[in-house]
Amino acid sequence: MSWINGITVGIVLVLIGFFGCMTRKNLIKIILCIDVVFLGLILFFVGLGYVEEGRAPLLEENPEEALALQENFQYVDPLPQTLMLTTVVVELSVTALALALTIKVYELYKTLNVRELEQ
Amino acid sequence: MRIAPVLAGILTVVWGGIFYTSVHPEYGELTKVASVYLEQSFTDTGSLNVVAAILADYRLYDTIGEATVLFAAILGVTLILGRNHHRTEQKIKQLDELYGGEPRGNVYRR
Amino acid sequence: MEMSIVVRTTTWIMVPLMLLFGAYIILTGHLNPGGGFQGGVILGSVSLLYFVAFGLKEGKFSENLASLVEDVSALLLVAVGLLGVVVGKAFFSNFLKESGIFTAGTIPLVNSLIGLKVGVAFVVLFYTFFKYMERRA
Repeated sequence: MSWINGITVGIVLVLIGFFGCMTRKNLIKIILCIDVVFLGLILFFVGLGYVEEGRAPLLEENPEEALALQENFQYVDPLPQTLMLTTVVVELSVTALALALTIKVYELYKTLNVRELEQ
Repeated sequence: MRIAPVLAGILTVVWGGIFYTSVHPEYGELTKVASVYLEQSFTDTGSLNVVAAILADYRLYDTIGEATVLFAAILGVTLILGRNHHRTEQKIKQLDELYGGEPRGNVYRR
Repeated sequence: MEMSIVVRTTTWIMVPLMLLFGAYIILTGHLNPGGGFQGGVILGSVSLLYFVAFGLKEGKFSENLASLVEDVSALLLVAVGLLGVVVGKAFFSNFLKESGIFTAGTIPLVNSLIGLKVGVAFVVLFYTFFKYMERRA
């Protein structure tokens, strides 16, 4: 198992996003770092279902011509991919609501600095 | 050095270690549920795309729940940002004339 | 808030092609990669391109119709699931599989309804944002 696969890159993205979320002061940058955490999580879950030398989970009608090219082909796990489709839509909802709230905060307080907003 | 970024860095490294050592021991093989889905999806549903068949036939309940989440989020955004009513525009103009300038703090509480 | 003539001409050429591509990905969701959500996102980005390039024109976009389409497609999705109970089998079952109309059953129908719902949700979202920014001058 090589060291650069979906799991390690996903964990690195989650850690980068988490670190950025804790140390940034601008409100929009914090929202973008939450987005990066989501994307790293999606990559981690999709990478969990990896099978060596596996193909995309699309069945074929006649498997003879696929067997002629490659012996003993296997399919990648299709279950985490379908759950991550729902996660993408949840990420869209969270980002849209957060940006709408940011617009109202800027309109009332005229600043986007988190340290000043704590007043 | 300030203490907050150093503490954040140590916390992320510890969390990354916990995350990495909790990978499923069966990594690299198909789980039993996935092999059942791959074998029986053509005879049960008749579609060649396994992902679409899982989303639309085996787990339709999750798809409907996710459509509800999307609907609730759009509803929330519309409620926050306000729709186009004449009453709201008059009230905004009235408040701008009363207070004017740059408001700091919660002006609309009165 | 319009953009230059180059952007407007390119958008005016690209929008029908993008709509066609989104509909193709939704409708062949059970054979090729794609499906409801993917095609719905493509249809939604068409609306964003249109609003950025052309701006909001009063009287040419009715938000009530867009909200109505979104609500009706969500209700139809639940109705397709409840029809499984009416036919006599389990809840949310694939009841069109044995008949001769579709070989894949209710899967293209569910894909179309999901794609329509996600596309119109994007339209309403971007229209609300742009309208608010125009009202704030």
